Amino acid sequence: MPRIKLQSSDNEIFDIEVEIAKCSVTIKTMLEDLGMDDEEEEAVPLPNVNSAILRKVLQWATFHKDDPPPPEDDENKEKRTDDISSWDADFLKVDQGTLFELILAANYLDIKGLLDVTCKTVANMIKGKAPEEIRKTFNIKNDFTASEEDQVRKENEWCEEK
Amino acid sequence: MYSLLPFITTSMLPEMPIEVWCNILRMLDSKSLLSAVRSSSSFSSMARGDPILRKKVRTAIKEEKEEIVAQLRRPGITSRVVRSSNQSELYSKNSQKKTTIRKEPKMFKVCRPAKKESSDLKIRSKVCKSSRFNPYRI
Repeated sequence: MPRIKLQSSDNEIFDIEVEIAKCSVTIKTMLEDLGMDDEEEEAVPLPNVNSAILRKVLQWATFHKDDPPPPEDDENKEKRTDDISSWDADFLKVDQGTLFELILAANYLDIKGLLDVTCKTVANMIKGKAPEEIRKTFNIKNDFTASEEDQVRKENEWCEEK
Repeated sequence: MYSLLPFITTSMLPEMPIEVWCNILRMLDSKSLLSAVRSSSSFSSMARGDPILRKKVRTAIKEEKEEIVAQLRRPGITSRVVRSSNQSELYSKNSQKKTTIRKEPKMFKVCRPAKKESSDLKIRSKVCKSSRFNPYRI
């Protein structure tokens, strides 16, 4: 089985199978474009991902390497968010900072399955909550001015023409 | 980072590309989307920029209005305006409309005898005539 080396932002090197690395569309396209040899000594640098997050991502990719490719999205359709598998739910029992870093890494490495499941987790954090509770969840303050707050209540402020 | 420093509240959302946030907002049902949009101006501006979200918010506000109107029109519901004690806030902010559903009475009320009622009325009219009573102050 051919292997590939990935280098995280803090210079830790991960030696993994190419099949697992190909979960990431970014790495897959790069390998196809460059046509790397089987016995490549040089590591692929990933400057946007640190070792802790990369380890998590690879853990996810190893578990999901045999999954079929995810279906194309229909933009107009509301996605289900309650279909997270129990392994994924356990895997994503992390603090909020790690969760958002995982989303960033999945976005950068273009791993659609991981991006989907992490986004669903964040969506579930928002679902069914009042504005005040959402602020509390993400630790943000109410930065609306009075006139802006009124706008959010008026339907015609959200017209297409604007 | 966010769990280590819970005392820091920022107006900023966790830093992520806008398209990722839009992706998350698109997963929400219309009610949750509306409250997300009302929670922060950054959510609000994101929803304004995305045609699908904008449409969804618009219909959500419309639905919410219709729901409120339907609730007020339904008999058996009383509504009252409640104001918080904080007077420094704006009028529209500190007032809140609360609706309470009146339960159907289990027993019919038995009318009081006519005599008593008339005497009651007399007393009431007496009270109203007192010099102190001034219902409409200017």
